[in-house]
Amino acid sequence: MPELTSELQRMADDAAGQARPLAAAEIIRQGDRRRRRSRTRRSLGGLSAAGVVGAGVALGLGLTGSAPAHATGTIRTAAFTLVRNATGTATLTINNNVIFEPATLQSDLAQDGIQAKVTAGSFCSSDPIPAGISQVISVPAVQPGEAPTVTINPAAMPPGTELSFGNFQLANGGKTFVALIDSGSYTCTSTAPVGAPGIAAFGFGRSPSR
Amino acid sequence: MEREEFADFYADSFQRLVGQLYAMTGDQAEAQDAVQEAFVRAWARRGRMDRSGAPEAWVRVTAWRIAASRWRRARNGTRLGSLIARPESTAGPTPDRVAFSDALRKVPAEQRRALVLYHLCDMTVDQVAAETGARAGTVKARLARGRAALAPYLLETAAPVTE
Repeated sequence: MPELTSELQRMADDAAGQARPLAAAEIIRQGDRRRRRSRTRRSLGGLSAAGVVGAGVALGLGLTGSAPAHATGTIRTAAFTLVRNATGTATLTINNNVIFEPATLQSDLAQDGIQAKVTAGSFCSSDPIPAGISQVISVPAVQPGEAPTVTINPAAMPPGTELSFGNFQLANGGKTFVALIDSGSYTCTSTAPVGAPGIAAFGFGRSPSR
Repeated sequence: MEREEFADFYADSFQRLVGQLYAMTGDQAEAQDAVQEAFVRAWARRGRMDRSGAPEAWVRVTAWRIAASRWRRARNGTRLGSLIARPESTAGPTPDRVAFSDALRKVPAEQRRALVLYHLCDMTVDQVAAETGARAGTVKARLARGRAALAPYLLETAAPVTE
């Protein structure tokens, strides 16, 4: 029978040993980006509070001004790459070989105007599932061993909905499930929705070496 | 805190904090993600973290809040640590350890947090109280209840809680 302190220590040591940290430079980069974002928000808030004549117009310009960082460009982390296309769509590539980063992906999608609930090991869905997922995302076929991608068109998302991404490590490799959910009504489960209607899935092509 | 100092702090403490958060949440991926996110916030708000005078505690508290907030949003009341399905079989742990892990997952989140801070982080009751924002008496009660819940799975169950 174990002893409490040593058992907690063993659990913590095991988890610490499995932890795969991002490079410090990446943490700093993300922190800098967040700092810039919050400064922009603060300055916009100040403008609004000051009641400047034409503040509405200025606010609109301000938001547009902050948009180029999100309008096109690429965000790369160890877990995923998110490319904002000129057409307004975004292309997400998941690197399933590393631990998924749900909070980071959710935050980066939000920056691109894509409201999403991103989870690892669980999946959130509404009942009934809002229709239209095929207009919102497209999942191209991938070759064995290729990283899976999905292209998202936020303009096609019905009002009151957001996307749900759930990443699972299944017996045949990592798989990410995607569905539209009703923002005001959904539940989450730890069961992968394999084969469920209205839910798209993408993952690594089965590699002959696996 | 300058970049180099922050990078050293991150390298020194990341894995230890993931271990602590894992013991608190019971979820490896969630622990790693919350700690990572807390470090991003730490760099973005390093002035605030510096003023706290205890950067590692600041990151741990922030990571805990991130994990707890996600858990509340995702499950609306479901106990933290049951978000992720456990593997059906695990190689290695003895039946005692599996039983202990299962029992720990069933301990309410704030009790488990107190147990981890007191037993794993080697804090005093007052320090646990300061970090969790609870009164010392509440911390003692949480420790007692948490230990009682785990008692059937432990060798030592009656060690007194010291200040």
